[in-house]
Amino acid sequence: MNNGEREVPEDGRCPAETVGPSAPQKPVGTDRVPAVPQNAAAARAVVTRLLEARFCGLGGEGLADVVVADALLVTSELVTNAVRHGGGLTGFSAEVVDDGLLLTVSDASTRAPVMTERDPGSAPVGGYGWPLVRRLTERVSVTHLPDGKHIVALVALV
Amino acid sequence: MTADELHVAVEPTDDGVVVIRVRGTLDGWSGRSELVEALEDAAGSGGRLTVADLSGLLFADSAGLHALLNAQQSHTGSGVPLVLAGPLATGVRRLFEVSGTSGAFTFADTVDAALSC
Repeated sequence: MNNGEREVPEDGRCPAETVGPSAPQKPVGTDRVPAVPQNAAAARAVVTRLLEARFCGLGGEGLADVVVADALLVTSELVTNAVRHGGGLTGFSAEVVDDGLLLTVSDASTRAPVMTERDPGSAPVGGYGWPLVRRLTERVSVTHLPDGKHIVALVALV
Repeated sequence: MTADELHVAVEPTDDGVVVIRVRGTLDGWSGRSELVEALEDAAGSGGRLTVADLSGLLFADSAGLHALLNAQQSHTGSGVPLVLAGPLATGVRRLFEVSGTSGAFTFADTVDAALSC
């Protein structure tokens, strides 16, 4: 993790942008992320940079490792689903809101994600992605559009 | 090497142990076939033990989990023990915990500990 690019004031506080409530919500997809990430690693990098910027670097007095790990896992699963099962990733945004990290992932498929939890009696391999998303998020919503869908997921940052 | 790539190195030992060192990132873009092939070869090798060294694994998601679960199945089928060796990165540990699959694997804190299994 490269924390060297960012100057932290000597009193250890984050720069002013991270103080106080989050910025007013902007229309989804128009801020922070100018281009759709090429793959899950690129999307995870976007989230890592965002969390570093908002929480004064990761580790140390920033977010707990486990919180960052969960956010990256959700990001990876949602983007992978969009590419593998959703006809392609058509939009991605990540922003820190009052309640946590809000991820919006858009794909080109009108089919709903497979929501079912794994049946313990079923084959032991496969189908872990969506249950992981469900377990690691405060809420997930799917909005169907004529040409695809948005999945909005909120990951708690505490 | 970049952190977003997967690197797999297979190190057979003289006493029938295959150590598979996995470094980097294991997701749906990782070109998992190299790892899957190494794990399948080890399962079918008739060796004494396979150790997957995950200490250099920075991140894994369900795609990586599927590869490891498949490897566990094939090792069970061929009667070769498979041990996943740490120390694990926080994200990798969370993947096993949150998916509820920890019980499907045998873990060791280090490769050295795994070799004594």
